[in-house]
Amino acid sequence: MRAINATDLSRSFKDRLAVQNLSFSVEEGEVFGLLGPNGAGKTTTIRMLTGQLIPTSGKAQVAGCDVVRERRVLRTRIGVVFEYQNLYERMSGRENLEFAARLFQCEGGRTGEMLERVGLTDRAADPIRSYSNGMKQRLLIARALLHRPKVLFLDEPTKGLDPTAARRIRNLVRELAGRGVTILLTTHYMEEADRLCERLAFLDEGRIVAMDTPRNLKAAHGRPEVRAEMKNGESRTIRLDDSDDGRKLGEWASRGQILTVHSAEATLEEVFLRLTGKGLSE
Amino acid sequence: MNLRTILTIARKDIVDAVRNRYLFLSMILPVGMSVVFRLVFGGSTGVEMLRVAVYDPGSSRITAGLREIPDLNLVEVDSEEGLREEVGEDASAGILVPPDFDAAMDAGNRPELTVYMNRGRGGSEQMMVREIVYQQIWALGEDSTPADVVWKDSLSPIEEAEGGAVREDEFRIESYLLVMFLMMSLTMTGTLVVPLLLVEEKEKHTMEFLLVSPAAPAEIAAGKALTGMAYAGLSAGVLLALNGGGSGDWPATIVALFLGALFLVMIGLLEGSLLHTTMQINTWSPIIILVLLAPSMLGVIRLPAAIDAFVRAVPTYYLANLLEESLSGRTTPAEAAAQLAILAGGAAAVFAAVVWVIRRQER
Repeated sequence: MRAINATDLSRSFKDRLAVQNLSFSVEEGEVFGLLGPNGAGKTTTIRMLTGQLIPTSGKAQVAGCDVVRERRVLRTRIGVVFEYQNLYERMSGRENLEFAARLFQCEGGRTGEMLERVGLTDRAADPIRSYSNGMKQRLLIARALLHRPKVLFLDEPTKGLDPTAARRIRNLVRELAGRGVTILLTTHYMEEADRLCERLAFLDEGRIVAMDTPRNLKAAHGRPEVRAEMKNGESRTIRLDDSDDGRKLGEWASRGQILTVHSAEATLEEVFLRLTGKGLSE
Repeated sequence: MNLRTILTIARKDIVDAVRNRYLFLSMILPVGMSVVFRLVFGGSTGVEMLRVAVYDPGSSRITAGLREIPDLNLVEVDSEEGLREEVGEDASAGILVPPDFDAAMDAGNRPELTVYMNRGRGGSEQMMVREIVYQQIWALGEDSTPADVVWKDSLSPIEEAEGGAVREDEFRIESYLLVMFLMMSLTMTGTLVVPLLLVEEKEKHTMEFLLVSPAAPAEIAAGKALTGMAYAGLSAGVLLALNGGGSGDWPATIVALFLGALFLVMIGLLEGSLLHTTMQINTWSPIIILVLLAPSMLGVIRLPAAIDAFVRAVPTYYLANLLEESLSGRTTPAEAAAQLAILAGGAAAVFAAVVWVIRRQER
């Protein structure tokens, strides 16, 4: 069963085409990543899929709802964590969640449950302006999950966070994925996408340039070789599809001449570079 | 429109706006000014600074009434020329009473009372003269105005004041000040607080959260409008309580305040829908406030025809007018209905513009 199904989705702003003929689908319970540099069209895609922006052409269904015609129902079935930490700063963490709970007509007690789940029960009464970025991000996830959405959209969920806070968010995403929540994630952190996503699509200038599992993408664009660092200081490249090279590697290993061996598998960053001729940070 | 969603947004804003020092200050400023005014001026009516000349060859009841006003410096002269000389010097105004004034009034002929205004005196003195004259005339009649007043300018005594440029109807200084404070309160709440509520959501990106919640854009706008109406109602209620606003035709006052607040809140919604930053609001709001307050500030003084036409084109002119009349208990059903219709029509027109802007932005 597909949780997200986009067909030829396009969006232009005046003369600029932000997203062009995007077609992809996400299965229920899958963690899907949209990767690309700033301006690639990730946020525009999320805004169309969450009913905030009407596509110029094409169509999409999310959680069984048409993103244009059934926006009101759609909003009750999705959760969105935005790129910006858009919480009410003068209100406390609990007040922010209570306001969201009333809007989404959630059952009583859900606020406390979510605060506990993201580890913010002790700080629930404090105003948001006293929270760290990591705490705000956890509260945003709690707010997005209050009404038990079928699909969760995470737009750059670890942007600007320190490594510890980012790791905590990633663990939370893994936990949600483990519970069967469908997640669409945008990021320009390749390592994060590699660790979290079951499948991902590379976006460049509003178009999908590649879409597959991280493993397949890396394998398709990497080289089948390893690099051996020898104890004598030399560095040797061994091709894995060459039987002679494989035999040599075995011999060096049996004689104890190898210090360490490195895989030459491509990183997602390199895959993107090979596909588009530019880096993800450009 | 889902009422529960609208109430949820309004409830959040009503609580949150009080925590916002800037918004809170905007809301309490008119009430604070009213309190300060009362503390500074106490029970003074300002009459003690008035010098009014009167020429009354027939010794009418109106002059007898003027003599009874405590602290009024009344100078009785023995000729029309003497009257003009007084007005040309220190007197705030000169009243010319025809010899047969009482008899004509008793016969129901609505005699003319001529008042020469010293235009060199301040606007507040002119207002007080008007209040005193009308009070005396109303005191002489039972159910209707028993005499007409012709206002003349002392600097050009032959030229009659242009009827269209000066409000020729009844006027009271207490009502005028209360109307000013009410207008200020409603205008500031409508055109400063309401747009700031919307723009803050845009600036902090919380609007994006609202737009992926079950709340429709029109419900978000309605929630903000409800907050504006609640604060406008609260501040108007406090102002009325502090200034004895329960007198006069209070049902008309309530309806006028409601429709006036609705019109001004709609203006605020339109402003908040079109603008995106607090800086833009801070730039545009003072201009909008000035335009909307102009009728209540300028309506009592004589204006050039072009400015007068402009002032009358602003719906708040009719709000100020209606409030003055209702607070003085001098509303007439036909006039009040016309003025209320203008306010309701203005609110409906601005609401239509708000809906158009929101729908356009949804695209």
